[in-house]
Amino acid sequence: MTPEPQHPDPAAPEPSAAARTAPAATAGSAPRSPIPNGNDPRSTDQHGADQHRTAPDGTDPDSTDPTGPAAPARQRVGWNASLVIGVVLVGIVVLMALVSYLWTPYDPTQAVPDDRLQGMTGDHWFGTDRYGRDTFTWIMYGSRITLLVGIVSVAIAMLIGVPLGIIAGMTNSGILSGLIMRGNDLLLAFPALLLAIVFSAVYGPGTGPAMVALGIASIPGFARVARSGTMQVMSTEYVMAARAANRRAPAIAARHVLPNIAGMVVVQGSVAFALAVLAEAGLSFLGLGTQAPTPSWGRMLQESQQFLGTRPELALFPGLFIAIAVLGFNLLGDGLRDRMDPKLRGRE
Amino acid sequence: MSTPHTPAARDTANGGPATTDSTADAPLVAVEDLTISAGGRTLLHPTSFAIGAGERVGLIGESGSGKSLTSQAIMGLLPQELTARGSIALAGGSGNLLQQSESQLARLRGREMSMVFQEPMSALNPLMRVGDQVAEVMRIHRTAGAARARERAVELLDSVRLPDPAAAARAFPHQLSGGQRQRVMLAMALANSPRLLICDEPTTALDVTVQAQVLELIGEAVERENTGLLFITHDLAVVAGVCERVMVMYRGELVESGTSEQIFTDPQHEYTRGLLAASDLTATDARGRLFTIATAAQYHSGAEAGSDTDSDPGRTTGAATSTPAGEATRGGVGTSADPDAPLIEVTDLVKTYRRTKSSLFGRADEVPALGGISLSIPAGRRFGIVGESGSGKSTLLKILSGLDTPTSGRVRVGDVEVGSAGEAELRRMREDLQIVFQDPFASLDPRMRVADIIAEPLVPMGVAAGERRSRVADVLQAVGLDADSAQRYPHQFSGGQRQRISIARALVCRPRILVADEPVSALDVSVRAQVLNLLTDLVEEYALTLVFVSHDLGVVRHLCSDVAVMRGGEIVESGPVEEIYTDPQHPYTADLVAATPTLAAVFADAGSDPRERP
Repeated sequence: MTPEPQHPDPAAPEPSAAARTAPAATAGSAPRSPIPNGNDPRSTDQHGADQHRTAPDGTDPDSTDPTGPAAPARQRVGWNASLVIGVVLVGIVVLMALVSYLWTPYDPTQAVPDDRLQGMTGDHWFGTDRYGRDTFTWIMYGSRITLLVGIVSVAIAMLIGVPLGIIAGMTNSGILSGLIMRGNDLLLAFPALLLAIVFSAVYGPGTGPAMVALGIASIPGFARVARSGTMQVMSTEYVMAARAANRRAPAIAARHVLPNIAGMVVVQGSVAFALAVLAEAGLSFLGLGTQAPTPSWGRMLQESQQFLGTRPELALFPGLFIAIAVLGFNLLGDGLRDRMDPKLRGRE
Repeated sequence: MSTPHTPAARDTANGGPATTDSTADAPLVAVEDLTISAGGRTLLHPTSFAIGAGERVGLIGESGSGKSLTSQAIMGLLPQELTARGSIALAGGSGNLLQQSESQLARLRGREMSMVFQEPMSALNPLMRVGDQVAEVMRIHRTAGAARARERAVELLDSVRLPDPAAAARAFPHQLSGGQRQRVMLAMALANSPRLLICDEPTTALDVTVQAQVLELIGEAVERENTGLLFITHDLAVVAGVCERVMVMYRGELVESGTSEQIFTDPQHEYTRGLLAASDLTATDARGRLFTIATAAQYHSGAEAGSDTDSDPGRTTGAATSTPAGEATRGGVGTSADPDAPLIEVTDLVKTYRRTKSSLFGRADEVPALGGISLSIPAGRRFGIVGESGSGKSTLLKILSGLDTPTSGRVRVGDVEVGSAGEAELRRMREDLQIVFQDPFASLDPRMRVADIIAEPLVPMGVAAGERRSRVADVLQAVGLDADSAQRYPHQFSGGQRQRISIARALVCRPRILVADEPVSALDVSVRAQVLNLLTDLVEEYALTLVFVSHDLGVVRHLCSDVAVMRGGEIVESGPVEEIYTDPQHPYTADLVAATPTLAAVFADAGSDPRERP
């Protein structure tokens, strides 16, 4: 999807690097050899004062020893509480979805009339519903739908929103930029659920239309984040240098803008994911999302309504897992943002 | 409202005998074995020094040497993750400042001791009128009532020579220029007549002519109030002009301290000698290169030669000057390449920026950046453009390199008319003309490997990957970086090394013209000398035509053969650099030359030293 938003590990450069460039340096016989004679003071200078700059506050990015592994140590700084909790909660949901493909305690579609409406027992950890189906099994199956909806809708929003935002940011104050951003504002005025209801009215209720509708509704967020990030990147000297080096706009977008805004986009993705999870549950609860035989947390909530008095567990567990997923993705987003924003990082 | 807090001490601070008594007893500030560490790493090794009342002490060192940490420790402003040990005692105060609580320190800050920061832009509250900000300092410490504080604020603004202080008091920070803001900062710092004033690089962000005025103001104010001054800077010439005693810091250690004359004429520590040599742009070694820390041994102190500076401007005796050496190479290249027509020709260039409309019905403001500039640069010359901020020099560069379009006028680079050129022509022109940017931290993409950064100009030229790699390796070697630098990321390099990378990127496609936009102004003195030497070497090796933009006349004088002085979007004067420097025709050029602090000038002037004025 998106590149990993951290510095690739500089402590492990390709071992062949030196071997590859060294012979090239000697073999490449330039017409005007820029190689200075042997006892040039420059080479000694460089190991003199250039490297003497020490970090004044311990966090200075201008860390001095290019041979030392200073960078990986700095990268480890970012593991804050939000990030850890977020990763754990998201991990629980992802793990359940993956395990459900290999193993579940029971068959989710098999009705066992004798085991109807049981509470939490050794056989049925989370109890059973009115047809005697195991709630834990359903929770496991439900996490698949939850993640599917999240992934597809975020992917739709990212794939459309980010390019639009980059285009708007690079043609800042042009007509195209105006059109994109005003269209964006229009879309933003539409609540995600309303859009999903319209879609289900037109295409019929189902997971597919819900995913597409949620994806479309999340486009504005991505476009805005991408645009503001792009404008920031476009005003830097390294983009100026790239323009001076004759790079065309698409190359600048791909080589400079995208890698530098990737972090912001990933954070936005995490937050949009949480919203999509919540919206899918809401839609299924209303009967406009995932349809009957497929297990879904929203639909479980809806079906549990009539038994709230007798079997509150039926509502408790789907609700709990919706909360875990939403909280997990939100915390993940927060944690990633804190970790990637150097201004916030300094305050910890 | 009178102050409840040690009124006696305050009242005697300005008067004669009591002050001398207190200085005789103990120094104003005594720092003993101050050690600052972060985690297990020691950032400042045990350091001891003292500042007497009314004494002006300079603290010099490169970035990261610990000089700012020292001042922050005195003010109690160290970041929380750092720990400080040792003792800092303020005369008449209650013991070790390092052990005092935040509220105790808060009573001292802005009252007994105050600080002027480097960035006047960010040190003032943008939403408060400056008069209120000055008055606030007095109200917080209850040294004046609200009405009295407002009056006194205007007086203070007057005393730092802001024109029309009453109007200035009503202004917001953004309505003032950088120099004016720094004056406001100074007025705030002096509001409560502190006994100690700490200035942390107060003039680094200012233009030279403004710098001279602010320095003079600081000197006067300190004199008037008998305030102790701790002046932190990396600029040796500034320290020499302001301070009577100088301390030199290097890698978290105080390596040398003594009177200004001692330090600058007879430096004992190797590093001090190197720093002096590297900062002297008028002295060159036998190859016509600036001295660096490594070659400082051959350097003879500029101050010794100070007396004959006026008669023999520039070059230390015995050293071959860079100009003749450069001339020889240049002559050959110039004639062989293009005998008659200048390589770059600018005629009546006008650039006007249109500000975005501030209101729906308002007219868009037009801001003139360049008002009809003409210049021509022959091939092989090293052409300097000097001007202060806002003079239009950067705009000129952008238009020259085709990154911006002129409003009117003609710009010709080689055989390309930049103003009217199509995209294809512009692309061809850019292959011939490359830029080195000012800020080595901003001009390299943090997410690209050095090899990709340097190879970037080659990609649009369609150079194959293998060829790209070998050219990157060549050029890395040419700028004095290791071959394995190619696989690292920019954050792993120091400022000077990054600027080398930036230069390597500019040279990798073998341009004919190198445009440098203040390439050394963000670098430390010792690194500056290395980068300037590198540029000199490369200009010769690659037979480049150099267009070098700077605010620093000294740098341009060393590096360039010709210079144009810009002010307010116009060229006020241009010609051979030595001529302009020694015999400026335009009053502005003369001001600029006079305002540029040099060590030689400070010591040549010692007789009429401003410090010795009553």
